[in-house]
Amino acid sequence: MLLEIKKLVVNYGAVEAIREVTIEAKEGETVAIIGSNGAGKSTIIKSICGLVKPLSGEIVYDGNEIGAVPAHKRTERGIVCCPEGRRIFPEITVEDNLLLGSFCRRKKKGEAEETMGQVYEIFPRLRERRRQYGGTLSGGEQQMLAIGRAMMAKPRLLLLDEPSLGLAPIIIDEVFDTISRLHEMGTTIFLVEQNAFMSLNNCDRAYVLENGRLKLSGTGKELLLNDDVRKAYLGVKSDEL
Amino acid sequence: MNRKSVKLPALGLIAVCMCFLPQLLNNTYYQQVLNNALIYTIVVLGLNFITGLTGQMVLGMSGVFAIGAYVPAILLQKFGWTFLPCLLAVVFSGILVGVVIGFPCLRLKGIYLAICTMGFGEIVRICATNLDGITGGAIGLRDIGGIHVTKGIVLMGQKQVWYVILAAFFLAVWFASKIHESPIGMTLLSLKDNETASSTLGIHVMSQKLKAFVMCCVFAAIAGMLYSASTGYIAPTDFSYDMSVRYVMMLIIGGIGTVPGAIIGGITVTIIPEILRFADNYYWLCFGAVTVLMVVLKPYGLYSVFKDVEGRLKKRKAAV
Repeated sequence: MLLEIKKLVVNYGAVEAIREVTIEAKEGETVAIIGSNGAGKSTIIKSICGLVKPLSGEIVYDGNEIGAVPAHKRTERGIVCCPEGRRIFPEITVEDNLLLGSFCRRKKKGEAEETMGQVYEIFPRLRERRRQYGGTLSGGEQQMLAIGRAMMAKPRLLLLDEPSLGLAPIIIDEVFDTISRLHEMGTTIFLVEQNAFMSLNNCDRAYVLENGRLKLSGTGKELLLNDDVRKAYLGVKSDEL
Repeated sequence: MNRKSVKLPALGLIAVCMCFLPQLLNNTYYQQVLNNALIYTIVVLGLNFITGLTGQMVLGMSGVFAIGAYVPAILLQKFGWTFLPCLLAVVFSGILVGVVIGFPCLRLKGIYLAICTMGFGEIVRICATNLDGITGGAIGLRDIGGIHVTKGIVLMGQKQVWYVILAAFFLAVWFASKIHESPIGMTLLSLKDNETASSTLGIHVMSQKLKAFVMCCVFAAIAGMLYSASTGYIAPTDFSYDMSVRYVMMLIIGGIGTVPGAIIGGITVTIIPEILRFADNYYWLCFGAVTVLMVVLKPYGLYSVFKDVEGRLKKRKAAV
């Protein structure tokens, strides 16, 4: 088991965001969490990468409890987060954005160039635009840049927070194609999405989160056929069920 | 001719001209203005690390500048230290101030950091005014001028110190441009763009900010030392709060986040008041208006104006 979250509780002040959530991800798996706005999906991602401090519960990564490890050290261990809303650096070039991604591996010389070659192979568009400023890219390109930047850190566990946010359907397809390519390359992917249909189709296992509690879990296919999921997240009317 | 082949000889020419500049002036007052221009530029180059690149508003530079001025002055007057040990002491106190002030303060952001650092600047000034025994109180310290290379060899007066300032200035420019081009500069820039994203990439936000702030403090402290060597007299009024504001203004008017911008800002904002002397009391009015206009119309400063012109010329060339 690469990642085990046991009875995680996270509060924002007096508000309970996550209540006793238990989630796991095996090496090489793509795991999705789906849920509506405010269900607590991003909070889970943030607690895995160390941006939020949980109230209680354990996060075990690669056999070690990492609750006390600061965010930048977690990246060095291979937990890399591709944050919600892309968060690319608008005032520096695409290539420098990617280079910053390899910050945690800066001591390994020559590796950055090699990984950058791989990123450009997956996203040829980024190679074309490598001298442009990050802020001048389109939304889809920025998402590709954000994923590419995360790849530069050579993640073992890649956390993707809403990669389809604000993108055109055709671009969403492209993004999910990339996610399955990364999956084939052996990266463990932890995906948090509102777009339930796409994520259930592209994952091995999925969890449904509602108001900070786990509602359901199962393989992507199972959940796609589940009546509750279809009604609540896929927009299928009850008489069509 | 390509750009690189123009740049180096041009830089060399500027350096030579600057070496001969004192020969053209026989007025020590104007020489002091020139010295100040370069000294303040060194502070602005340092401030650029933390405010320009990292995007943290710091309003306490006059405090660090004061420490940089007082430390060697006291060491020289009371213990007879020469230039090199004094320089080491100044660099060390710059680092010390950077860490001691930066570590707690840099957790704050925006206006809170500005207020906190402003408070530090004021504390230094008030201490300098009241610690009569050490700093000479409100009267200040006298006869501390010159660069005491050894006990016997002393570079005295504004004109001789100018060459040391010039050397320090070029070193500072060189160091600052190296930082700007290096991965360190890029990392700092990423913090300005988005701290959350940087921390997900394994960048430890606090230690990077601290690095920028320490560099900034060392620059300011060295500039303070050159200031005391050049004027030969320091008093707490030289390090008032409006100097701290002026450094930020220099950075904004010149072009925030760039080395040429910091140089242009530092030099113009020091020299323009002398040219605008005839405006007398209206000077600050004019200057304030210019600053506001600059921020509104050209948020990237005078340097961006030059760049615009250059871009337009290039376009015209391409069209021909």
